[in-house]
Amino acid sequence: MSALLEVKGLKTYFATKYGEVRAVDDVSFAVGEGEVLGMVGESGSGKSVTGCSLMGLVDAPGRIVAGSVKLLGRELVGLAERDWRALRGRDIAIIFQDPMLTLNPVLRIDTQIIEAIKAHADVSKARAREWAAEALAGVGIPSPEERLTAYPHQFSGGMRQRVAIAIALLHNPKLLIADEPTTALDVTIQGQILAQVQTLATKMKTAVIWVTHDLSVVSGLAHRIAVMYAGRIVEEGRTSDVLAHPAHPYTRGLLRSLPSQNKPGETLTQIPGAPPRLLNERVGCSFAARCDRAQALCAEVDPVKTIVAERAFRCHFALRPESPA
Amino acid sequence: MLVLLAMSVLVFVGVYLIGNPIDILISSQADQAERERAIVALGLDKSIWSQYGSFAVGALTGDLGKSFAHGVPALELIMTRMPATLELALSAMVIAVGLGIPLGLIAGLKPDGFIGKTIMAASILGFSLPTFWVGLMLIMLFAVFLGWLPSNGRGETVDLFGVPVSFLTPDGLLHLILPAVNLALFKLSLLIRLTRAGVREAMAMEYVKFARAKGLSNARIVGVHVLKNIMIPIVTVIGLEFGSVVAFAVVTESVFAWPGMGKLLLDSINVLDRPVIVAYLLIIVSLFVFINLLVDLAYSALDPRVRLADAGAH
Amino acid sequence: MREASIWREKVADFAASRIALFGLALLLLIVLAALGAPWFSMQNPYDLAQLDIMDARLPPGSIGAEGQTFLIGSDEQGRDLWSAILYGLRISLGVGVISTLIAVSLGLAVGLIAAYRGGRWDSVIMRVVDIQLSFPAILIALILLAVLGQGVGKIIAALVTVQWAYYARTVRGAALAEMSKDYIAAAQGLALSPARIVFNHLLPNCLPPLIVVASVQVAHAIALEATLSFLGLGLPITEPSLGLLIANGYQYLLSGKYWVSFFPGVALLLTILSINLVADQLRDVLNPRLAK
Repeated sequence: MSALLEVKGLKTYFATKYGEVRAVDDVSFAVGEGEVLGMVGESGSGKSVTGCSLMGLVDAPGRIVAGSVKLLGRELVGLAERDWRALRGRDIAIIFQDPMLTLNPVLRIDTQIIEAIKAHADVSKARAREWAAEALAGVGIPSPEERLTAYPHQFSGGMRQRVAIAIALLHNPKLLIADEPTTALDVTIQGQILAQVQTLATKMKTAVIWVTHDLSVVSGLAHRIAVMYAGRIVEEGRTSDVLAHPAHPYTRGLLRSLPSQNKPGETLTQIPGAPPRLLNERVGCSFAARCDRAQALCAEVDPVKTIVAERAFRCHFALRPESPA
Repeated sequence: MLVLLAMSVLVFVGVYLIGNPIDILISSQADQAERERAIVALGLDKSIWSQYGSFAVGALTGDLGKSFAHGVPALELIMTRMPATLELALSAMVIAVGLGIPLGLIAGLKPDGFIGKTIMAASILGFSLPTFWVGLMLIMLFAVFLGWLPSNGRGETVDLFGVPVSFLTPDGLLHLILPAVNLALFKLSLLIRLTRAGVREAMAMEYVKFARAKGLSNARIVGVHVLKNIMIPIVTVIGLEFGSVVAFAVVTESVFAWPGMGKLLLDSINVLDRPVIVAYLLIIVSLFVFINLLVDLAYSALDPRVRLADAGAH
Repeated sequence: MREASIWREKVADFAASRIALFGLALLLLIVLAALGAPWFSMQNPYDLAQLDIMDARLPPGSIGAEGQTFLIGSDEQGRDLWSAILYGLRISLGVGVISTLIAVSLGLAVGLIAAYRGGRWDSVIMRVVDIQLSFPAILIALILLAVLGQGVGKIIAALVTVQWAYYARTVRGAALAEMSKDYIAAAQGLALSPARIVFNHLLPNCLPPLIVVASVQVAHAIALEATLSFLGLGLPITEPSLGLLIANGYQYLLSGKYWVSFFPGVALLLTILSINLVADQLRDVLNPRLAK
């Protein structure tokens, strides 16, 4: 797989009155064409901000302070708003967490789809309408022509997310960023949406970055997994490898806190404490305070990225493949 | 309707308590017999409840009593004054909305820029300026020192569908400018702030982010996505503020000697012309009820969520 | 300890805006000038013995018959405008502040009753509040004063009447939001006395929004009083507030003697402006919705 997207040393900071919050701090990864990357982390770990950084959608007071994002070799950081506009929705698309909020409540569905079509394609009104109906049909919405004239509040949450997906995939983008699109939905609907995105992405050869806080969501979906903690990727590797043999104690902690990984009757393991605030200069490993393997070194020296056979991790005392998961 | 009835009792009883109109209406040289005759003629000899009774019966047939001072039906008196007030209030609203929404949009889109801050500073100033004093200053500047604009009256009027209006004659328009600007100032500041707050709130919504992610132009996002959302609260406020503009016209009308019903109310209060005061209040209350109705209609036209909830209920 | 640090943070937030600090400084200056009016003015403008009709309608900077300087001119009775403005400020500020204090107390009590009692109490009270708030304050005040007549007590009564509903609504909203939290139910479950629940829990939570609304309303009350006095329905001639001073100058305006109306208006404007500047920043600082 050749690299479609290459992110190097990305830093996105937010200026607040308490100081600079390092939401994304030196993040590097790559996504191949048609590849699905699962990006996993707790809330506040910087995974959503990473997603928005890739779209140039970081709002003030946040900004990308360093790093590079290349799509098919083209540098996106520092792109003029005009060029971003040409790119968004055509080459990179995004769907957000809460489908109740992503669609404008006072505009009809057809307005919201057709404006997205016309943003990147010079087509007739009739053709745009036809296209919109096809897009709705494509995400499994019954009687799409009729539904076009409806308002968002006439759809259920799951249906709204399908509409959002249809809009995101209108122009066959090379990369889709799915920012926790199933978190706000019922479990049964979650499965349907997952399957829908997977099918469409495969068909269109669209690469997907699936951002989630739930490891189990991406375990069956992603080719590779990147685990984020405190604004950094602490571990990255092939899904099966990461799930079977986590190298970073944090990944192991996440896996152990999944109910499905547990035998009935056994107490669930938790990761103690809460993620750190990202305000201060980093001293040592950010996870050290919550880590059961931490030693004196961890509190003093920030671990560098180690790469061992397609696995990357930041840990002084990484778990060996043979250690129990 | 219930509000109207309750208001009529409240207003009537309240106004009944104001002084004794006879003392003002009848010259002090009048003898006792003359006095008695006047009291009977005006119906002031009866008890308050029988006065209210005859008033209520009359009101139902569209008769709100005769003005003590002018001797013509109060309703007719107010109706001849009403077009002037409505013209003034509408002109003020047009100025406030026409300037307030665009300025509020600019201030909301660039809250930290120089222009945005300047607009906000101006709106705080506009909020703090006492309307009547600004009226005086406008007269001083444009009528006394510069001599550009007339300072009182409606000027020349022409009939539009039988209603005299000023804005269609050059002279009338000149007369309209100062009072309309004066009355608009406060509402202009209000609309700027309201629009700005609405824009800032809408711009932070996820649907705006999603619209940007679709690759839409800023013009489309602001002009369609944001504007359509903020229009809902703005239309409500415009409707409700129109009523308040009509009421506030009392001040502007008295400064600029604008012959509207606000000026009439003030004059009537000064001579204790009860029927006119009562009639004015009832008309204002009806106007408010009517405006509320219009606002509800506009609301459901703008907000699809309300529209459908209504359709489901019927 | 935590409480104190929260307030310290709010104070710091407030001080972050230079324009708000300017407003606060201006307001303090105005209040000081009003309180110390006898010391900062050259005459008591209402002691007729000190007035000389020869000094009437002098333009700013004139020298009077007794050699005194009329900094910003004099009115038709030979009153020094500067002195008249300082004395007028006392009345305007006094009426505005007193009426606001009374209206706040009344609104607080009524709002808490509505929120705490709920049910029929709540619906009747809120119905009255809604109806009253749907009418412009000036109209209600005009009619009230037409009924009551002139006087300081009467205008305060009118200002209280048009204001209390704002506070009642604000307090009820804040109290209801607090009541819906679980700990109130827990406190009721523990059979704590209603007074304790209201005073220890509801009251403190109603204060920030109440302060915000009150700071805006003081400015409105002062402006409304001035307007009513200007229309001749507010304060009597013996108690000349700024509005009355402006009205007195109205008739001389057309002959170009602008100062009689102009300077009292500037004083009124600065007073309202400084309060609004402070109120604006207070709202930003105390509004939890805007807090980051």
